[in-house]
Amino acid sequence: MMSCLFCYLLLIVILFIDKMVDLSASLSGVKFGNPTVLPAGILGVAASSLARIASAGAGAVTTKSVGPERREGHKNPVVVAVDNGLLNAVGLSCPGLDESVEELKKAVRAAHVPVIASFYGRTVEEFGLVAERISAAKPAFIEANISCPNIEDEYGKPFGTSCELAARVVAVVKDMSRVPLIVKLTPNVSDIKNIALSVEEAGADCIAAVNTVGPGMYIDVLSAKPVLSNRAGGLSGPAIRPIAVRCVYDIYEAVDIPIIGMGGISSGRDAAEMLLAGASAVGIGTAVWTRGDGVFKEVCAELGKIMEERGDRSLKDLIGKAHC
Amino acid sequence: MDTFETVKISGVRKETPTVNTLVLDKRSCRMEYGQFYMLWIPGVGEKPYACSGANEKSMEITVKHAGPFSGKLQNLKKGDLIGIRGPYGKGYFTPKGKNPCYVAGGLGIVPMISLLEGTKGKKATVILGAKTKEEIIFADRIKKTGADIRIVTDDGSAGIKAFPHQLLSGVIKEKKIDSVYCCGPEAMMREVLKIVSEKKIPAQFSLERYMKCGIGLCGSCALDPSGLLVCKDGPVFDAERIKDSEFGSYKRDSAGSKTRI
Repeated sequence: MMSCLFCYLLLIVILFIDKMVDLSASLSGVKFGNPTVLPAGILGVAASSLARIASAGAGAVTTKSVGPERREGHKNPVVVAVDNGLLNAVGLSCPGLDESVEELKKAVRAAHVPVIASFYGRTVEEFGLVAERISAAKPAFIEANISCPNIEDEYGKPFGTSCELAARVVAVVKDMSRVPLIVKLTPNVSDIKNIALSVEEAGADCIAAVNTVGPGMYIDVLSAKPVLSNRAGGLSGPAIRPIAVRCVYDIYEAVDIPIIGMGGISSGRDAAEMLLAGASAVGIGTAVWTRGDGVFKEVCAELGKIMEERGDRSLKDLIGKAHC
Repeated sequence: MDTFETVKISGVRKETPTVNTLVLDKRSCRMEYGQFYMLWIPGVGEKPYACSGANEKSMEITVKHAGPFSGKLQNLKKGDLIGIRGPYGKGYFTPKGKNPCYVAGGLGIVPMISLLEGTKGKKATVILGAKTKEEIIFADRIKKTGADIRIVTDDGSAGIKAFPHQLLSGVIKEKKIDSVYCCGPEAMMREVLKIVSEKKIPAQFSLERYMKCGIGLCGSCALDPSGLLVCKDGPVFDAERIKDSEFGSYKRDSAGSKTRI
């Protein structure tokens, strides 16, 4: 009698689960509860912020890029709001490698979701050295930031603008670390397909695309001065979403490794669009400003409704489906 | 509100030898008590500042010469341009209790003065601390509200030679204080937090952390271990929210590195 009742209950549970859409994502063997990711540079200074965003519903969280030594970044103003977006040039501020590794260890302990450790170097070799150090903190992924548009005056063109340099960074990092490697690409290139292909061939496990667009500039007309202290800054927010979607679409055509798509995603519709373009997960950054940290749960709920409407069971039914 | 606006300074008032109040006209200003603005000196830099007075037609910012940026801000003259965005912060002072006590150190009275002036009916006590007699600000404005003012100075050149928190326990007892508002140097605020926690008196604190974006994105002003952001969740916090936090022990600098308080 009891076992009969148990079977009946089990059947109800199975039927119920069967009707729900499955939002879980999997990238390079790492499971995400949902496809939303906090990207690098948003709230990633303190482990406590990453833990908070994980609790707020993000499927994975990314640290602010860790560099080889202490850097204050650019002087304020580092952000200025523009129509449908935001210009920023924070300039890779970093407390230094030792303190960053300690904070990363804390984040891995405190956040109950996969932690992605973003990092950068001034030279190809430095990328390898920093990768080795942060890998010791056991993040789920390391993410090579070869695409920051705001440090060209000091560091030269980002490595992500050259197939050869991008591949060399990946090769060196893969030599120094066994943690799955994401490479974050810049949209500010003439052919993002070739860059994606180069990093895949060099051994990257995953691609994050895109970093900010431009850089752009905002000039105050009364004082006749650019507002950002760096004068120029990367553009993010809804204004860049069509560019980001096209980039991810192109990359998906070129490579087999998974893509985290980002750039202006603020709603479930935007997330669905990015998944259809070929992303396996989606970054949500600037929308944290416009919608608050509840944005991760809200986007998931909106995405779930769209999937129900489309008759999708899991993300697999969406990923890359805009390609014929 | 996040849109940037550049306005001309319509007047400058000297408060003390090192403190000026800048009057900004043509900037309609509706704000909650204790919110802040990001101020930009074109081509120089940008920092967060509290508002020391606001109405529908103009607003005022009170600035002390404490470093290179505030030195330049303080030296601005009538007609000079200043960029402004805000008001920011979802945590602000809320009027509580019948017998509030304000504990202010240095420029700490600036973000609290509008609350005091906006709630005149209460029997408020203000413990106003300054380094020296010359550095005391807003004593007249405080007296005008009818509040009982207790002046303390570090060197004893005016009022009692003490730090503001040293008077608090006595005032709580004497005036049956039922709410506390506090702003000033963090070491002083930490002592006030201890006192109000012990006596279980509702209290609010206005915090300062290094800010870059001011809009809850860069994470520079995050408080451990909650991840509360001073720019967005603050700058004013209830005592319970900051009691078991980094507040009073360390803060992060412009590189994100922790420095002891």
